[in-house]
Amino acid sequence: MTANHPPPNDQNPSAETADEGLVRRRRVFEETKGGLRAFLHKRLPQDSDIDDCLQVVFVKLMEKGDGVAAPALKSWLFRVASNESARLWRSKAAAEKMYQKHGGTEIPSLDPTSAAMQTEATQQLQKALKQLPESWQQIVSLRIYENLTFQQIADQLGIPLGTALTRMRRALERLRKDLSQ
Amino acid sequence: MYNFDPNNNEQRQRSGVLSDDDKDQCLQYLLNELQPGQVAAFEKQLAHSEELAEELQRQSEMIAMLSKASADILTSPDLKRSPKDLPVQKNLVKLACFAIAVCISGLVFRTWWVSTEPRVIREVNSETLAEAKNQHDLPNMAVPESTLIARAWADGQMEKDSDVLSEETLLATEIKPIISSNDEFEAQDEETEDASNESFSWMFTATYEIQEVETNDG
Repeated sequence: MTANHPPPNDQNPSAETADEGLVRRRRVFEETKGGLRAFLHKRLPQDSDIDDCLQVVFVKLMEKGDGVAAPALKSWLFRVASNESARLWRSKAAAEKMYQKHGGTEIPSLDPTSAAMQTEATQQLQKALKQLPESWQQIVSLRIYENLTFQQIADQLGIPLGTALTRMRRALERLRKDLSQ
Repeated sequence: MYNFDPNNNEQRQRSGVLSDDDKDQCLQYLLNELQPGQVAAFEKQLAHSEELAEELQRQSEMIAMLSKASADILTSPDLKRSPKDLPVQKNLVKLACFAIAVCISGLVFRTWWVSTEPRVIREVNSETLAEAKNQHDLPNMAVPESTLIARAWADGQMEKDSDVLSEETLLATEIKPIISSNDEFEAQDEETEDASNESFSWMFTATYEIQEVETNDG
């Protein structure tokens, strides 16, 4: 498989300077902007809302994106976009307007990345990960933490590419199911 | 790498069901493993498919969570296993298999050895019997095997126990048949007794031989 990006192993955030990190994140945003716009198309009917949302996503990427591992940066952008679109949608609701008018305070952030929720989610995630089949854990570890491509993983483990993809997908589905319980 | 065909995906969109290939495409898209042409086609499909957008959201959420938790998870020994460890695991498995094979071979050899042991004893017995035959200058006529065994045993006892057993002990030994008045008991154990009498008959013969030899000597 030949991806349109450099191999993931070359994108090592820990080895880059702050400026290089900003440049890299900006480049990732530019590459992902089309996909983010397509993703938001059905969620936010007005183009102006999509632009606003993308602006917020970009700011968050510049502010907080340095702590995100390279292979997950694109996923992180979609997650932030999803949360921001939900927030924008809520802010347009009549009840929200009434609340803002009479309460005069900003609605509390429902961002799930708050510290307490993050700690709890991490613990749950660890527990759920250990319950996965070993072959699935291996794929998750190699792809997310070792930053190998699926083709590299398939070659190393001597399995077909489709099997590596399927194991990863099923691992994510199982984790999501376990965390939602 | 799967070939991305937007036409087929649009057909699937209408049915509202995402195929596994669509989900795999989603995964590859989020992890930057699609080729440029495939990225454009995927984004085009993403703009029109609610199901695909939802799948993308689900997968992106989990990948982002996994990434955030990486610092803690990496310290977990269960997940720190890298492909470099695989050969070590394979060697351990091979070693265990080898150990099991050695144990099984040992058991098989032991079983074989035990099964061959009686044959060796039988050969030794036949040698002893031949010796006994020669010692008593018996003619080459048919002699019951039990008698030969008894003589061989008696000779051995005479040689071994001549110092240990006194003559009085041997002479004082009386062998009495066990007579039971209980008919039922006799009937029940008739077969067992027959077998026991048969197996020990040579001992009676041997005792008789010993007494006879002593009488002739004395």
